[in-house]
Amino acid sequence: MQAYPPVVTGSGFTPPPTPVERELPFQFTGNAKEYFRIWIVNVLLTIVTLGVYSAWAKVRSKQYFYRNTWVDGSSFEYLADPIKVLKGRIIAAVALGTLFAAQRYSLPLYIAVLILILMATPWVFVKALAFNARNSAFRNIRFAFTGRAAEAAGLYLGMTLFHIVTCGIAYPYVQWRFTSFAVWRHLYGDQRLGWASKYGGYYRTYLIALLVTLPGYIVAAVMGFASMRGMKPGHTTPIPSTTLLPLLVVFYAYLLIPAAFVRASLANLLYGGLQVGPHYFVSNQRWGELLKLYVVNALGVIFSLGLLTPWAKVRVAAYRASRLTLHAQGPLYAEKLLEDEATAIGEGLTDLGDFDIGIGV
Amino acid sequence: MTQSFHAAYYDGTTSQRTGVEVSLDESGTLHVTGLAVPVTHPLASVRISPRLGNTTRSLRFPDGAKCETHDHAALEALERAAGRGTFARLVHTLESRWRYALSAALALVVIGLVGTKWGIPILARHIADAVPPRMAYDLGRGTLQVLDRTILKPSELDADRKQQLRTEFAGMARHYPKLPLTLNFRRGVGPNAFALPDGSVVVTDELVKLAQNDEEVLAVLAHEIGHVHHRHSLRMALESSTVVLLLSTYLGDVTQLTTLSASLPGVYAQAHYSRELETEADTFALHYLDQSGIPHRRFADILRALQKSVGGDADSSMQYLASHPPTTERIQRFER
Repeated sequence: MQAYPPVVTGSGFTPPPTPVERELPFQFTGNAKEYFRIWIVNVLLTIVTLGVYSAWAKVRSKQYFYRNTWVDGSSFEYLADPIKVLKGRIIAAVALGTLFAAQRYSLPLYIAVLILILMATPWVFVKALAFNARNSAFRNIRFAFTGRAAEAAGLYLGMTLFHIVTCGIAYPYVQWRFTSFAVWRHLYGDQRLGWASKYGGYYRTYLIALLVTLPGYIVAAVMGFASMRGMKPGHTTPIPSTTLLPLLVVFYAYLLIPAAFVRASLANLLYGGLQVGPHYFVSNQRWGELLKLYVVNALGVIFSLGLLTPWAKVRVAAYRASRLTLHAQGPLYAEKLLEDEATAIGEGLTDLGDFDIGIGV
Repeated sequence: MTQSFHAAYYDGTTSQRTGVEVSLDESGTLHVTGLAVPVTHPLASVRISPRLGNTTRSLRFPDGAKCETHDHAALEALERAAGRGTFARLVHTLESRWRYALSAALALVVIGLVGTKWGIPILARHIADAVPPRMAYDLGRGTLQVLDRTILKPSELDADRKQQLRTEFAGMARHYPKLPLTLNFRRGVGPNAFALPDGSVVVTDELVKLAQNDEEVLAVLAHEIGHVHHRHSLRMALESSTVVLLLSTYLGDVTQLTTLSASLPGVYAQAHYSRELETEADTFALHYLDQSGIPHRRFADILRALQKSVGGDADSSMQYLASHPPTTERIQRFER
């Protein structure tokens, strides 16, 4: 037997190179001290300008997190034009203002505005995703979102109905379908994003959370009942707050455990299922670590009266990145979407509807 | 040629990265070397991303290509040479010095405190005063209807007793011809009384029975008329919703869990507003009692009876979250 594969020479045949898998860790390089100064200036300028600066603040903040998220020696970039963000905020404010005014003064007008807003929701949702994708880039190649409003509306209606008919049992599946839609309609350059997570994972997550939560509810119910029985007869007032409060604190503290589990698990399903071309992602957030992170963050934010909010955000971003790796098969190669393809999917330069409404997905 | 610096070049058509050197010549043209074919662009046509902390900055060329670099000194020099980015540099200066950040934090704390202590209440008072009577009427009616359907039951006081109290209430209401005051009897929420935006004052059977005499009931009703007079229910609603709105705007989107904890200051603020309004209504009641010759201690007596009936709930433990000022403190005011 030959110790080395045969080297074919002169026959015009070269074996295709087997891509070497590289494990590329994500890294977050932002730090709390730096971001604190950016955040505090953002907040103050937003107040001083009566909210106008909030659009610039949003872009700077988002760009800070994108720019500090690295993989394979490059960082992400957020390119949104603050003016367009401002436009989106004004439109949203006017819509909500009209809704509230109508609610007070005229019922038919209120219903009309409400229906209009409900009808526009899938369109706004798709536009927001598209805006965000188009303004996100890696190595000077932008992302894109190709979902259509009609598709989103159909999905939304169908899934809402399904959700109601099954009395909520379909909730994990519905969530999986929405996420699936959002992921599969994304492009990185000319590469379509894929998603390998199955809805079974969503059911498993919620089932475990439910099993963990139930004993908490049972104990709380029993104790609540006991404290009610301890009251003197003839009292119509509810349980004295001094008895109830510690109980509530313990109960909510306990609920943090399933909450952290659900968040870690859903994050792993979302990020860990992502694929771009032949490359795939692995996310292994742990609920125990996340629980500790959230509790420490919450305490910090409370006791600093909100001033440690930027510190908390940086910690979350750093943790998320530290638990995410990209498994690359060969080089990370993508090409810019061709101009006519871009126009075909509504990514043209029309300014109509090119605005941002803050939807976090 | 001057100011040469290292950068990563991305052509914008592929995700390919190439290490390059960038320099500016005397005529204001940027030269990018290290590519297969050297590239030049006039500096005026290049868009320079604003500085943001120590993050990578980029030069965007008109053809869609881009250079990214960490060389902050070089990019700042380019920005100055291009005569642009004045606003961006100002923002960066603010963001990069601790003394500005700390001043901003201090200003924020002051704005927060002044705003919650005076700003929001003053704003709420002005808006509440501007609310048309018709809207206030609808709000009050609506609230009472909801309460009737849920927790309140019809009064079981006998008709004579109700008539007697109504007459006395009408006597009080004559002092405030501008207020559309009405007295309503209900049952089912323990000894209690409250006022709604439309001028409805609701008193429960339990409270009427708890009172030793009519003057005690009248003292409570005077307190409730104070709420109506100062439009407290509207102001309370406005104050609470403003606090929630502002908090969620400035502290929002950390994570859901942390946001939950960030809403705690809002609970404190709301309780604070509520206590201020109660004190204001107490002041109103004091004036009324003075005018009509009812001794102050009638209000103190009924407060004490109320306090006893709810099981002597300890004032001290939950003071900061309580919606009313400590009862002992209120009683003292009326015993002076």
